[in-house]
Amino acid sequence: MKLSLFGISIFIVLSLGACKDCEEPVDLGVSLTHIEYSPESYSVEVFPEFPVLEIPSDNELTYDGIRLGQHLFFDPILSADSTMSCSSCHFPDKAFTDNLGVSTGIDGIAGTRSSMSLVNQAFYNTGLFWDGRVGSLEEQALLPVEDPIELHNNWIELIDKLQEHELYQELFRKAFGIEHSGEMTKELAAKSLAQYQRIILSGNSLFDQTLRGTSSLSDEALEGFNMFFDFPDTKDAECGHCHQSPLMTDNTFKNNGITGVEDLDDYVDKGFGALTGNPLDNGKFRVPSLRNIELTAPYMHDGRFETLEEVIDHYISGGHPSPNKDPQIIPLTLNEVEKANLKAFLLTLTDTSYLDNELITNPFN
Amino acid sequence: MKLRILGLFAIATLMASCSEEGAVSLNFVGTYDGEPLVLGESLSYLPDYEISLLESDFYISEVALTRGSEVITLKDIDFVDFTNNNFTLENAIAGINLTYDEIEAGTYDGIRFGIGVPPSQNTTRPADYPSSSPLSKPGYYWLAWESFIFSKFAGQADGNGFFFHTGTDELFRTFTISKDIVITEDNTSTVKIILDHKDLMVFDGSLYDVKAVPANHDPLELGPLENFVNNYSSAFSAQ
Ligand code: HEC
Ligand code: HEC
Repeated sequence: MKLSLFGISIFIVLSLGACKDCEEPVDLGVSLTHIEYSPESYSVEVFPEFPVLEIPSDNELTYDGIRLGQHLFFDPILSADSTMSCSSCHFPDKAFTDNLGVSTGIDGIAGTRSSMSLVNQAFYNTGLFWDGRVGSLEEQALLPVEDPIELHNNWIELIDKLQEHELYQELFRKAFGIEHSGEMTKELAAKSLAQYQRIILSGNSLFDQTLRGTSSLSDEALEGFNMFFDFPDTKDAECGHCHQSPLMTDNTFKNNGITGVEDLDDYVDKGFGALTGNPLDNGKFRVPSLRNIELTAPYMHDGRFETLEEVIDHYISGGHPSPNKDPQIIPLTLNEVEKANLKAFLLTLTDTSYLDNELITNPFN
Repeated sequence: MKLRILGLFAIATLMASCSEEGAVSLNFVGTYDGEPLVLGESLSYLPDYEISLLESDFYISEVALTRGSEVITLKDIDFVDFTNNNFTLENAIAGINLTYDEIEAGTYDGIRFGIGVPPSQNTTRPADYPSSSPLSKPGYYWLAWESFIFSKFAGQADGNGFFFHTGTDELFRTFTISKDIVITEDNTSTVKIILDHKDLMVFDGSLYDVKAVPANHDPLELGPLENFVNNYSSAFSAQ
């Protein structure tokens, strides 16, 4: 013990000395080289119908990288008052949503948007968040920590805390091979959170199994499926135009008519338009995947609908008029039985088998 | 030494042969009744109602220059996206440029391309392609047809949505536009290809009543869709 302390102090003195000429002396922190670093790559089993999983070459998946992200995701150390973590708004058993209309952060301030499901994130390559304002999971992971209506912390203080935390010293070392605790950075934290989220996949629902021929839908759900994708011989519900299989989203931003305006500038939340500057994009939001929709009420970016019946009634109405309401949102003529069938189909999109992966569930339980 | 000179000579010849290539830029311009098409703006249509267009985009495929019976392929697949371009007059006038290089210098007599995904590729799915390929767009596949969606064309008529989605091998069409195109060394020649959207909506000599039939995407009701894809040949012109 004495020896290692001695070692550390010699090291610090030496390193400070070495840095005499540097403009800013770097605080290397404690040495971590005694902890084994032997990264093992993690290969994801992607469902056969899913697109190719594209992983940034500077953030390949490793078991230890994912494990670090998993710990950070569930650890309230991320919030200023240690009360909330990512998982406070993204519950694993609710497809990583929080079942609230709009999410509330540590200060009890309600946001304006509903929490989003985090399954199949790896495939959302046209912009994250309801309005697409973030390009990658790596970029996204930096944001909640400092967001005043989320974790309301700051990274400098958080990194200080993590650098002094033995568990995180070990997890960072194992994940990224850093040699000193001073090399633990927010960028590495974000990379690990991105790795963790990239492996959360959901694609083995009854619907998928039916397409693979290993299971079959009930008659009601099958009717609903036919309507959803406008197969001949049933009424068209037009849903599949935007909620395309296999992801059950087309990865675009659309106006599905939930808000009526006369003028494109009248949208209170401009959504995608705030990002692109194209007024025709005002009031457009990400077409969300409908996978696990059974678990993710309430619905829409502002959580305005409590139930799937309300959602279906909205689509039947043809939505509220606006100059850029999507042309595919047209009045539908579904009767009560057809509505129930459509809902029955939506309920076949549930698959939480990702919960069987111990790299995904709460590591502190 | 001799060898080295030979090597240099070889490189020089290689460079010389390389530089006899130029590029062509296809400048797609969307119009409506001869005027630049600005999405979202009111357009005169049938006597009793106006329309606005909100979406117009399509795959072009097997893009090639022609010279007599010779076909020089430039690209297997590309995407012409007026939807994300024509939201200002300025953009509408500028159009969309798709540029193809490494074309042997010379004079060509036309440009040829398909609208849609050719049958040979239409057995694949978006998930088969990396995100860099235009074919990876998840919104351009239709499960009920087992086909890519070749083109989307949509808007509002008096506030009511209408749309045409084309697809399936039966509706794949190839067009040749005759035009002398001169490719010169290290230059990019531009060919302006105008698509007039009003011409696309002509059915049996009159304009299609999109208020009466707003959704046109049923492979079992090919009539309007077949008419629509056939209209491309008169709706395109080159300058
Ligand atoms: C206070 C609740 C809250 C907390 C805490 C929170 N989120 Fe979120 N999350 C949200 C909301 C709300 C949205 C949608 C925000 C928007 O669109 O503006 C969201 C969106 C996301 C998205 C985008 C998903 C998509 O499909 O585009 C990701 C990824 C994400 N959160 C990950 C995280 C991570 C990682 C953490 C922890 C570092 C975290 N969240 C903490 C509420 C929260
Ligand atoms: C024009 C594209 C489009 C069509 C067609 C469409 N949707 Fe949507 N859907 C969206 C968009 C965009 C949203 C998110 C809107 C928002 O939050 O502002 C959405 C949201 C939803 C949600 C809520 C998801 C969540 O996580 O909150 C459900 C459920 C849903 N749609 C079901 C359907 C059904 C069922 C149909 C067919 C009857 C359908 N959609 C047709 C674009 C579409």
